[in-house]
Amino acid sequence: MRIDWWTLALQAINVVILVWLLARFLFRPVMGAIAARQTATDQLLADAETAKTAALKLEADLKAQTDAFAADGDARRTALLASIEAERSRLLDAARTETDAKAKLALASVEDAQKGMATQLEEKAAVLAGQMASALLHRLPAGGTTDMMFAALLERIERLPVEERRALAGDTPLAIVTPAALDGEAQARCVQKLAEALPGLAAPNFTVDPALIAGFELHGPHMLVRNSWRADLDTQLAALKEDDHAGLRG
Amino acid sequence: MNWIHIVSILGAAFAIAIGAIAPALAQGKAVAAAMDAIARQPEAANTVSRTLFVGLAMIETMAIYCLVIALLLLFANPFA
Amino acid sequence: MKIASPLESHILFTIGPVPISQPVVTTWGIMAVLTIGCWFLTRRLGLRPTRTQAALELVVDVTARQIRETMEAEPQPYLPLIGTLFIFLLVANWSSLLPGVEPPTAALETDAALALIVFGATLWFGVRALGARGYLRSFAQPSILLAPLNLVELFTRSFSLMVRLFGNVMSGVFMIGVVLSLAGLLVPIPLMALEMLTGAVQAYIFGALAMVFIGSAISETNPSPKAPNHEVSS
Repeated sequence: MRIDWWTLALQAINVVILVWLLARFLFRPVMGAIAARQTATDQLLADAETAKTAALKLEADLKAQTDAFAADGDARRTALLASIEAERSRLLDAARTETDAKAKLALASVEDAQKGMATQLEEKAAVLAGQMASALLHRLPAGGTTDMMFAALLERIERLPVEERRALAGDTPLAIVTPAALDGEAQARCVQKLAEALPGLAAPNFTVDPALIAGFELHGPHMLVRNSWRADLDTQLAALKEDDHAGLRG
Repeated sequence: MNWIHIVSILGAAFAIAIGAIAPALAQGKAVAAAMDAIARQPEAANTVSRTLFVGLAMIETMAIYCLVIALLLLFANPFA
Repeated sequence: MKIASPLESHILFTIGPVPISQPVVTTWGIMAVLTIGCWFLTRRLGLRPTRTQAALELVVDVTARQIRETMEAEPQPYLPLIGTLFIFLLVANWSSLLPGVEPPTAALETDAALALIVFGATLWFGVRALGARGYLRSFAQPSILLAPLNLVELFTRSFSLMVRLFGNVMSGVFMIGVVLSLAGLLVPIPLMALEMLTGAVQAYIFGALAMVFIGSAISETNPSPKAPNHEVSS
């Protein structure tokens, strides 16, 4: 056996050259391609990571915004509810106050009506009383009350001050009102007695007014001397009304 | 054909014969162990079989050494 | 019957004083095919890999990963050497499939050249990684008494690397030749299939052992960190 040293040397050189050739034409380009793809992949991953981070941040922002909206809505709803509640209670109070006032008013009006009705009734009762009194009076003999009432008129006139008596005497035409017609003699007597009480009296007229029931009255254009049951009844009625009004006010 | 030739041929035959026995036994043991390992861990079959092939080639090398010696005796006998 | 010695290589022609033998010519052909093929395949590489680019990247990536796992180092400086050794051995071992072509690895000189390159690469990378002094000191691991043994192992393992490859490929070629001369056509086909398997496994083993040797050279503490079964058999 014989080692061919030339072949050995040539093969060694060949293999070294082949190593260089393959490094040049195979390994370097392929490794470069792999590295390039790795770089691109890393870049893409980094980009994706960045995008993911941004998206997460956006999501968090949106969530915070939504939360803020929700909190705002809650606050507004609460405020609205509170204001509605306040408004409702205010309206309720106002309504209650108004109702109370109206009830009071209604009560008052009812009382007024009752009062008015009572007054009317009283007036009617007074009128009725006057009618009944006149009916009763008709049973007495005619002139029975006339003299007495005339005497009361005279007394009244005499109690008046002098100036008023003079004014009354000068107040023409003066009418003498009676519930029933007087005969001539009675009229003359009346005129005479009046002239005594009222010096300077002009001749008076005689007027009949059954509403007086009983009594004598002097009606002048400016002055009036009332002396009759009607006047008494009116006075009493007025006093009654005064009492009622005083009672209401009280 | 002198006695050196005869001894060389006999030596080559014995080298191959004896050199084949031990690697055969070793390969049998290796394959048995590999089968056992694959039976225990089927999921490692790839690794085991790859290692088995390499090991078998290593064992085979022993027989190859003997073959080289035999061929040297036959074709490149320095004493012939 | 006279069988031609498988240990001799034929001189085809001479250039000046240099005799050119048949394995050298075959190697040149393989070099041309590999270079042109790689140049053609790697002409346009893109970010979106085509089918061929994906296959190339798979080969390169698997090789790089093997280097990283075996040597526990970045594969960048070692990838061209280891990858070229594997690819060249694979193509050379399988070149016997072409009729009339004898694989260059069946010649002892080619295997010796490959083992010599691995030997030189081991020294080169060891010195580059540890410095000359540090690389020399790594022979005294774990004890100074083992330094001669480590030194002897440096040569014997290169020698066993050469003889293993040579024996496997040559014996396959020799067997096929013998069977062909005895039985004739079509009978050696199973043997050729077995030879393909052997060739692939031997290419892988050669590359793996080169990785182990260089890896043990560049790691100071442990001369043979990986694959102790390889060491035992070498």
